[in-house]
Amino acid sequence: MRKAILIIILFLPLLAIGQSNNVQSAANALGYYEKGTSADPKDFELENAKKYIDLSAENESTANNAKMWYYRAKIYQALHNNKRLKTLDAYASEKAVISFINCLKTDSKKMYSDECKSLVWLAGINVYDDAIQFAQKNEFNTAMRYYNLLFEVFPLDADDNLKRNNITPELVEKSIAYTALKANDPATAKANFQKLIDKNFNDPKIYVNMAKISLEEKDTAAAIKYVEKGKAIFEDNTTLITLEMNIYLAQGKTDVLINKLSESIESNPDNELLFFNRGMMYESKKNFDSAAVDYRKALEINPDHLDANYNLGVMYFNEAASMANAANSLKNNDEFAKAKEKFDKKFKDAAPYLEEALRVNNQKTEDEQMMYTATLNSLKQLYVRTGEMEKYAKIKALLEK
Amino acid sequence: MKITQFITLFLLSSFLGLNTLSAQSQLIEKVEGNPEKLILNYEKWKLPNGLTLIIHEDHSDPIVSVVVTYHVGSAREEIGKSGFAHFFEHMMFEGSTNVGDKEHFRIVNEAGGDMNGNTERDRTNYYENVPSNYLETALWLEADRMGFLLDSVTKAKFEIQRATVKNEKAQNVENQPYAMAFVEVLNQILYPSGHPYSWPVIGYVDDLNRVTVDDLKSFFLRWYGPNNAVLSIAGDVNSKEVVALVEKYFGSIKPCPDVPRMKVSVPILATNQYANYVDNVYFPMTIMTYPTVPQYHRDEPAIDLLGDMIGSGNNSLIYKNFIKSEKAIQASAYHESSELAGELQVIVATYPEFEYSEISKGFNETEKQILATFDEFEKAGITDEALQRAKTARETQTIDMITSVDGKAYMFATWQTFLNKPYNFSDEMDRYNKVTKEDIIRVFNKYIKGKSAAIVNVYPKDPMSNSKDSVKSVNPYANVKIAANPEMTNLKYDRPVDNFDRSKQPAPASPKTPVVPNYYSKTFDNGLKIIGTQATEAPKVVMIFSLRGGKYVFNFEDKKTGLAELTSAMMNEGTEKSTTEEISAKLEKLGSEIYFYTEGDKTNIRLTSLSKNIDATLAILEEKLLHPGFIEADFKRTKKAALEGLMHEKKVAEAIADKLFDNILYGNTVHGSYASEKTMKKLSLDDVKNYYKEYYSPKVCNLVVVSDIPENELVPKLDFLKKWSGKDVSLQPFTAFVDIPKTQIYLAHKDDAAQSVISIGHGGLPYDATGEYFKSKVANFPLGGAFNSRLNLNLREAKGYTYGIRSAFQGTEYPGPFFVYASVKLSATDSSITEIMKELNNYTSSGISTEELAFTKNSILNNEALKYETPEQKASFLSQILRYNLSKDFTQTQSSILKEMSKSDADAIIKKNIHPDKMIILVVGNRYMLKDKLEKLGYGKVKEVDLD
Repeated sequence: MRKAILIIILFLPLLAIGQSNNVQSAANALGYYEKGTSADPKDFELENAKKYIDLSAENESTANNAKMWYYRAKIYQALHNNKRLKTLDAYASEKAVISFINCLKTDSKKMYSDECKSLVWLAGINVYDDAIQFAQKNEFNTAMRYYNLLFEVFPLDADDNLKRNNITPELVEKSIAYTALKANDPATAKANFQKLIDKNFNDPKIYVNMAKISLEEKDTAAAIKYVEKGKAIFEDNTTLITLEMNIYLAQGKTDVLINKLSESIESNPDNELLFFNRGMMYESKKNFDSAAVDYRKALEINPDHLDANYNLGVMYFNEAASMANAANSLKNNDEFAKAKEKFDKKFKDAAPYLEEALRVNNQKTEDEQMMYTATLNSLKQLYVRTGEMEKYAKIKALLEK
Repeated sequence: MKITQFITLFLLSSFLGLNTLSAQSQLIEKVEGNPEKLILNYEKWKLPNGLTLIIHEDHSDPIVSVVVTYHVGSAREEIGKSGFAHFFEHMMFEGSTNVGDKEHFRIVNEAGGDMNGNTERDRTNYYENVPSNYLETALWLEADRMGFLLDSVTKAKFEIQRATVKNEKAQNVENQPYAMAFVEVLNQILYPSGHPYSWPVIGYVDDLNRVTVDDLKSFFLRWYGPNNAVLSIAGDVNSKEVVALVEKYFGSIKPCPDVPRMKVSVPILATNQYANYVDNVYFPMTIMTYPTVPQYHRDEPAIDLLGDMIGSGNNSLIYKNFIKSEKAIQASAYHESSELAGELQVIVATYPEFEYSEISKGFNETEKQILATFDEFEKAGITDEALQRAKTARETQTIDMITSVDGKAYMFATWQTFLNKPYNFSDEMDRYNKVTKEDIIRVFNKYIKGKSAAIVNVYPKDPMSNSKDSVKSVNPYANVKIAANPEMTNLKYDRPVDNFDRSKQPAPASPKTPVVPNYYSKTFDNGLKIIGTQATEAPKVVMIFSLRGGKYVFNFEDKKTGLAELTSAMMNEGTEKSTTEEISAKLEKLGSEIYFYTEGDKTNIRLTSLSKNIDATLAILEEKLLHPGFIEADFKRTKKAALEGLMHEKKVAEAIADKLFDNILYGNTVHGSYASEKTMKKLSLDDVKNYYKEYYSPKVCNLVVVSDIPENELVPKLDFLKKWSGKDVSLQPFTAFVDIPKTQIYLAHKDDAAQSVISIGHGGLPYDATGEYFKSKVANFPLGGAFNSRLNLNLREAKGYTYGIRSAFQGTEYPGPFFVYASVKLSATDSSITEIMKELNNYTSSGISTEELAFTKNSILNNEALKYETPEQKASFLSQILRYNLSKDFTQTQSSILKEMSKSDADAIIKKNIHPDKMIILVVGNRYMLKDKLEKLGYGKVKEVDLD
């Protein structure tokens, strides 16, 4: 027994030496690999380096050794950057970063710290890129883990290299939020969007997303709050404007919406969408005169506004059609003639707007295609009414096409 | 967005009959002018095919500017098809059905006019400035390429222009320090992927390589119609006649498909976006750009003024924190809006004070300092005076625009294209005058404070790097699959039908006599010579002082080259009683400028002022000219900038070529000397003071004055100059050019040269107005003095080697060189030299052709009508008279000589003054790729030269 113990006691330092030899072997192999060329890349050396360093990492005697962590970081960094060997370890970039961080924690003699600090941000870029890849493959937990790892890297990047490569804590929080949405984790999404709101992050989508999450949670008041917050900063943002409109419409609060739009118009009088939306609200309440004023105002700002042209044209067309239908029941010729004069004028009022709606409609969406056909139909009937047969023929041909 | 759709059917009613389309143009607006209020007269017409015509009458000179603006630029392009608009601009000069290949240039040049085109993000402009009797010719040309271009677009022309466009990019972007950062890199991070502003106007080379003739034809058919164009005509015209001519030439051209308005798209940057770009530069540069508002947005004028206040001029905080503190050689801020978005940009080029490995720290410092400058701006608040200074600068710029017909035509076209409502120069002034201090603070808070920016850091090359690669352009859309755009398919050319023979070039009307300025002249007792004229088109004064001297007051051995420039730089600093900032503030308040600069053997002082402020401006001139400060701190900063500037010039191929060519031509004489770091380091403030004392003398000074103020009121204001005293100054005589027994190639290496700069020439003649020098310039015209010269037609148009090549005789009181100059494709350097020498040999042996002689005469004679329009042009004319002691009618003598010149006269001059067998051929380019090839050209061993 004493002999066995002696052997073991004698053997233990040898074991320790053996493990530190593994670290050195890993270092040597890495060195040979780095001397490789494109003609002779020496990939096998990197594979050897990985093998040795993995052994070192598993062994207690070297598991918390700054030198081990240093070389582990560099080996896994090299592995990540090697297109041919990348598949050896799908988590190479994460291991590189963790190794750099642990090296800095354990390097009491500061032999490796400067170099670690100058390289950890590069490893951080790889982690960020990989996080995106994991999220795209729906490996959400891994993606989240990777994103969160970056918060340990930021404090180590004294020269702001990550920032200068467009990776910031805010960007990571945003990425986490969107990944959480994809992963059906609204709580995490909300928490991160809120962090961004608290930091005045300049992106209207965070307010849109918070409003949408609130609506899904049936918290309309919160949704409205976020929309209003977003609109206060991004007063021209069409998504926020439209979202607000839809929320109030869903609640049947047309009057409230009209007031809100009027307030927005006061501070933002050049926004055609605000006038158009208010016009639509007036039209829905059958206040056609006010609707017409707003549609025309929208067109003054943007003569090519498809929806305003279409809505105004159709509004006049329908008014004229109603008048024509009503006139058809008149028995007195004089009365009919007077009524005809009025509805003919109304048709003529409609014409330029419908023509413009046709002109500016690019038919890129299904809605626009439907609108295009509807406009053609309206114009076809209108030209018959006004006797513009050449135009009628052209429209008919377009419809047949 | 939910759109309610209401469709109601009803019964057909009675037939009412057809409407008929009007065939007449419609007068839409007519404005009477009121020049005092900056309201210029114009008429706006609309043709039935959608063409908008704007006419401004100005009968002060017999010239007219014809500008056609198409509302299409790079922003109408698509991913994978960048550069189309600019490429097409080139094709528009290649002839049309009734205008032969290259004839557009020839016809306009022969008319004595000038023309060009330029493509921007949102528009493409074409213009001709011609004597007013050629109006119909200009309209015929523009109409022909609007309505009759496509049949002339051949594959051969297309390929040449493809090469030319690529050359243009290589010369103006890839071979220019910092250009790639502005043209490509910045836009890729400022604008989101797919945004029309995210790709460069000039396009990516792989897109240019991929484009086909049919692609370009489709582009033309889609966008180049009269309904997408504004024809703006300003000058000596009668509006009724103009309308009739426009209806004749443009009326039958069919419209293109409807052109929708572009949707405004201002990028939102959630965080700073960075790009780190390595270029062959000396100074690290930070370009920080904030997205703002599109043009004519209600906030645009306030942001313009904000940019001026923060970063323009010596009183700005950017100047104080970066230039005055000697951190940077250049620093400024500026705001500019385009149709879809705007950009407020801060640019700082710092001195390279960090070790290369630490250079990122330098960029971090610069960024922090820019943000600190914004904080400082906010804390300091805005004074009424600072705001007024910024507004006055804008007022001056607006007034400058109305001094030329092409400036006016351009602005009317701009307003029509982007505003499409009644608008005038007075409206332009108003929108700036209305801006309040509160507006400035509001836009600062809304668009700048705490907002994110696109930040490009331009790194100099790592000195340890062995890379010999040229600067790289990277197309981020290179791998994007391009779907067919239905808008660009099934476009058919609908040939216009005329009721006249368009194939006949219209004859010009009777020429009108150019209005040669009357002038007065005086000489003060102290020797100052003055010449001046009254010009009433604008309420402005332009004065140019020219002091003869420069470096030529020294011997070569004195090693003082650079001292004249350093002295004039110091004259731009403070005076005995005012600091640089105080002087600048006074000038800015008046909207005036006083600027000293040295060029060759002249130190010039340029003074501009609104007439109402001339007295105050002259008071400042007196202070600057007669009591300069020569402060040590200013000198230290100025000298540092000069020294570092010399380091920067080593990266600029054109600067290297200029210096070395003169050095080889003149040898080690003062004429061939150039400032170096060695000589500049030795110059002291005492040297500067001495230079001023000895050589800033009225005895060698000419003063030219152009103003709306009459002579009897203006000249007495100059009495203070009688106090100026000075010595006689003698200049080094010219002895001889270096003897060149036979043509020799010299090669100077430039790292990363994307192109080679070639200078070929030998010694020539001193200036004369009516003698051999003048005749030599005439004889040179068809060789290399016009666009359709032999050299340009060969190397640019036929071979696609270069974006442009010219030749010239360049003499002053001293004999100057005859030279040929071009920047050419790297791979075609040797071939370019071969072609140039071939043309020179041809020209000297066979001489000028009869057609070339006729063209030259017409061109130069007709051009006189354009020479006297603007105050600057008048000043240039008078300056020549005074400098060379010419008679008032010297241009008539020139005309007579020209008219009488025969082919044999011209040939004799050519043979006497151009010697292809005794030329210096200097190439600045990549020696590793060029040396062997150049040595095979048959001119013997190449001599390698460098600035050091």
